[in-house]
Amino acid sequence: MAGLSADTVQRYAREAQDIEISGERAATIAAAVEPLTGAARREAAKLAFESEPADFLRAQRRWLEAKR
Amino acid sequence: MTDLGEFDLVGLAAAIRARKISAREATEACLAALEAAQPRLNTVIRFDAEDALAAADAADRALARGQPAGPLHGVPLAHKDMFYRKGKVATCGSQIRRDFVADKTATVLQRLDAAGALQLAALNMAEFAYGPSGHNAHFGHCRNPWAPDHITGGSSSGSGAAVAARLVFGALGSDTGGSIRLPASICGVTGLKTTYGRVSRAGAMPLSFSLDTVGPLAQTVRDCAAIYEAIAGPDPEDPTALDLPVAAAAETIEAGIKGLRVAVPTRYFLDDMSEETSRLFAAAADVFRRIGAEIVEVAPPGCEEMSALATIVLAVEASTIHGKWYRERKEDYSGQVRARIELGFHHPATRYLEALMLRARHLDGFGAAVFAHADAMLAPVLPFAVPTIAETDVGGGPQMGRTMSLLTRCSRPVNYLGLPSLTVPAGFTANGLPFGVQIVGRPFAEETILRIGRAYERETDWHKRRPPAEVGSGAGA
Repeated sequence: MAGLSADTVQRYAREAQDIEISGERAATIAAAVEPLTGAARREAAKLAFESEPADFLRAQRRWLEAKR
Repeated sequence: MTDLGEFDLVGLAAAIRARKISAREATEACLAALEAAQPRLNTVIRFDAEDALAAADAADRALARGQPAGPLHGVPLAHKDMFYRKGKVATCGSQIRRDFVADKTATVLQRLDAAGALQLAALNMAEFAYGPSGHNAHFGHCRNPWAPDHITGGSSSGSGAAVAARLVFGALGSDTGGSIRLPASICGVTGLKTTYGRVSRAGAMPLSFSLDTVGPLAQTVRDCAAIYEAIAGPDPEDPTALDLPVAAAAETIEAGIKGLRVAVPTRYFLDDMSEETSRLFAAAADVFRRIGAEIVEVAPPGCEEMSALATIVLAVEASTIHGKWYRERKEDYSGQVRARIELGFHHPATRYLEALMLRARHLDGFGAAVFAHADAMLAPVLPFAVPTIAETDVGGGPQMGRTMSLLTRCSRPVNYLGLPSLTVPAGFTANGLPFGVQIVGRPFAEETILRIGRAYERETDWHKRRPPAEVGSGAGA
């Protein structure tokens, strides 16, 4: 979503989220909405086919099992 | 007013069980202290004096009859106003829930009740727990007992300030991005952020269900351990609460630190520290070395990315939860919280899911880099001296945005990883405000970080320092 414009933010807010965003706020949001670097985004995309959010709970469990 | 100055929570509980002091005396002293401090510190949203005194009398009668006493029997506590108690208003620090009456009692409150603890008040907090500074536009800002024009840290602002001013012996808070550790560090008390899944969140206000955790703030590590033991464990009302029993922390926290390895990070957590906070952090690490810990350097990977991912998860989940109210009652939010909610609507769903999918990978990577070499990692909570309320408010000057972002820099990645972290007082900066360090542990290793923190506490006296006396206090060592 890099390069998102304030106009796009305002239109998306209105049409998809049913909220109104001021022009000033839309510019701030457009600048802040993509905090990930390109490398991190590519890494995330690579994992998508083989991952799910519950992997985190499994990873937690592995630490617990190792402790016991 | 009864002087409780010699006691911490554990000591008071023992004195009440031994009937050296009554629960009523303790409750009256704390209520008087809370009321006296209210004009200056604004720690309380709702007083529960009548119910607390009735419960104190019942506790004293039970002891007189020789009935068994729980570990927190008769001990006065107060909690962040986001833990529901049936029949009572839980404002969540907001205008929107100013009249919300809970129809159930939070599991953590039920467990504290069962342990014999008393609730004296519901404490001030950031609006919907969505702010790291302690600002509250609806109920007034909570004030730091060390310097009322400085922030308390948030979102558990009232919990940090009330314990620091010795108004109560302990308080529950919640931590989604630093909301226990920040007020603990900034107010100079001890705070335990628990592992994600270790403490039930049933009946606690949600902010971000992937990140929210519940834990105690108190004067000492052993006090936090006592509250933690009372509240932790499986809960059928919260399927995210781990279905395995809790190790007994109180039995192991006195075991000392010899043979344990404490990691000091070489990057990220120390990057934005000032000269004076660097000095205080190094002094804390020296204490651990002196008392027998092996200090090892580690380079935790991916912290900048984890910080960004935590921001996405929090923003999206919070905006989803608040979407209906935002659309219908936008003007009832403060400007700070409204702006945070607006941002969360705009992260793409795919980015949000990527953030959740990457979490396991980051936990494994962090674990391999840190916990393969050490039992815990030492890090600052706030990398610079505590700022003023004005510096962190809307219109706080050109540095305001950066200051607000840095407030949670050292805490956010820990929430993303779901790790436990204990904050202990570690000195004061030149402006007279406290500085704290966090001891970050492996998943579900609360007993280890409590043991490490307790060893540090025995060698230092920062936790015994009290804010200026004019606040008025009844509780505390």
